[in-house]
Amino acid sequence: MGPDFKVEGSGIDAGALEKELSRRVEARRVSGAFSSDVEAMLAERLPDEEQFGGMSPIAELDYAATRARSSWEVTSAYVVETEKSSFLRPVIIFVKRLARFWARIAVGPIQREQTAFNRHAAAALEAVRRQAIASRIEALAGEQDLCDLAGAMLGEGEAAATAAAIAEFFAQSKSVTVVGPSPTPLLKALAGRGLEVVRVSSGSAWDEDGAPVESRTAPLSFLGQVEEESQPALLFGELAFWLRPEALVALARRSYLALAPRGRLAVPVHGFAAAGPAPAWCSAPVVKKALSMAGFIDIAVARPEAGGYVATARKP
Amino acid sequence: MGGAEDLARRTAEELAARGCRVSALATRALDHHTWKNHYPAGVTRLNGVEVERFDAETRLGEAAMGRIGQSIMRGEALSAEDQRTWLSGVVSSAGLLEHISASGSRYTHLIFLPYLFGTTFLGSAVKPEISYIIPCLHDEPFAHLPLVSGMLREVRGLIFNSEGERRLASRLLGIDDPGPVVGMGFRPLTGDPAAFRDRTPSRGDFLLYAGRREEGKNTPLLIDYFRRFASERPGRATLVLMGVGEVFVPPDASQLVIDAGRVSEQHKWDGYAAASAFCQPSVNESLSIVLLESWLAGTPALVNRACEVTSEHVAASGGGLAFGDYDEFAEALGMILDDEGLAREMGSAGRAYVETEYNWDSVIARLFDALGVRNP
Repeated sequence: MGPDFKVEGSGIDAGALEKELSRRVEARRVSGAFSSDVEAMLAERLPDEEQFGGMSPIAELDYAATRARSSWEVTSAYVVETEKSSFLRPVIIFVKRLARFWARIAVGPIQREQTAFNRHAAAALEAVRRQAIASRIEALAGEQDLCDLAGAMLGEGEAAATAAAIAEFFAQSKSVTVVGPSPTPLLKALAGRGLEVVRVSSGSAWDEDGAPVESRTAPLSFLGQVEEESQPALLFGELAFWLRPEALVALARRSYLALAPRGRLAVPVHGFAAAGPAPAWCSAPVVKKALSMAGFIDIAVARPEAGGYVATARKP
Repeated sequence: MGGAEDLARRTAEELAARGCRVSALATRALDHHTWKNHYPAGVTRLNGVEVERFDAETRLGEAAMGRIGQSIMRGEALSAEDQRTWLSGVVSSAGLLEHISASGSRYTHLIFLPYLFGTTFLGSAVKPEISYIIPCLHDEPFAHLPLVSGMLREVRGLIFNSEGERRLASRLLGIDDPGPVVGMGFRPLTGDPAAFRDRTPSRGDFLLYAGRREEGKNTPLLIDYFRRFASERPGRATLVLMGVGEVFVPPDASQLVIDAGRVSEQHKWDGYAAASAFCQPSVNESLSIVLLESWLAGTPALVNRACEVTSEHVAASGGGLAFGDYDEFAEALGMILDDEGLAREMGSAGRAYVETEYNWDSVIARLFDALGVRNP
């Protein structure tokens, strides 16, 4: 059989590279990055996490930050009590208080260090929470800019005509949840037709004080927080601003989940989308296909005279 | 389809270019998931090689195959009948087997690859005295089937792509010297980084993956590790994935992970040249053509430490680093991204390794030696 072949290294000492990598990994771990054991423990749920297990990551952050801020102090001044009868009770209380006195001496240093750690952790969580809120406010402001921009691109009478078509489709609903940066004139026109407009974004951050939103366990600002099968009417837009076609399919599917049975969906595509960067996938056949893929039925397209179209569909 | 088919094609074309009479016997299938007939049946000539295609048959959709496949993955002992059903059912071709039986005397050597297909399992049994197998083994449950070992023992000779694969065969067969390492040669194309960036929305440094995107190639692991890296070092780099297969990119990672999809050969080499580093996260490799190609483009590599074959390439060449967990991945990628000089040296070392060990002259010489043929 043929000879084995070995490579004679040149220019690079592979052994030295490996050693350097090991040194860096060790330094990384010593600096506080988690080991796999710790990561496994972190993955376990705390006893009270079941209460908020269904929340989005940012909502969980708020929950954890709030809890941490209110409970960072560790104290050994626990209440001494007993359920024993009145005869033994004073004796037991005395003994427990004596034990607590000595225990506080022994655990005092641990308690102080733990308290300091908790305070730092709570402060850090709060800092992260504020950063998430700040970035969300910035994103919301950006989204509002898009709403206004889209409004500027509408044709004469387009907002009113589109709102009329949508309102007719949502005839039996009192409110509509609007996902994404829809044109401001359209939202105003919908409100003018008696619909309560609830704005959410498809983003993933937290809105503390923004647009009128529904509140449940935490302020609601994005589609992922909407309870499944809860919305009677949903509208998402502006497709032309979501430059990736896969966003259409994802939005359609998430909307399907959020809608109640027999809930209604409207997707307005305005005239300016035809001249936008992604006209092909804003076309009616593509939108209809995406809605069909998501499970919607009775998919139709209305074309208001002022331009654009409104795709409508119903959840079975 | 995959690396084994690529190896077969390139080797056949190289032999033909050197004046050997080479025929390629293949099925008509294009997709290794469905094995649906795609190419026309019959004989064509491609790059100097006579290619004859036969109808493919598969039993993959049958309930028995599903049951057997799951048993294999669980490591359960199987009856010989079940093993035979699996090995001959993944894909086979009655027409191809008939051809070997009727016309096998035309050939001096029959070389089958890879080990897991019915065309190899059944075909090598027709004329074992002139049959060789390039098994393209990796350490997976299928390789441990007793009938696989039996098949490998019955043929005239075995040929391996790497020392790691050879050692695996040695363990499976219980023999010290199962056969020689031959490998594969490369003829690199010149990559144009600017052309790649024109066609792919990636800016700045990026980590490249090329190949099938699937669980078996560990692409979900790569995406997960890279997302974690990106959260530690925002904006430092992106991840570009080339190749066939579906890839799930979480919505919040859509700016980090770019799916370039299936690309042309030239575009692939453009990607190699443009990348800051190449990653091969798979543990199921017998050679890793894409790793060696990326080195020829001078790009340093990250490989999975659990893959003996690619880890050995890295250790032998110095052309990259191996990672065993996320910490190692993050630090190794950081080392390459943060030190351009080191990255360049690694890439050069990788290139030198491939040019020395995987040039066609050396490979063909080893192949002729393995086949007992005088080198013309």
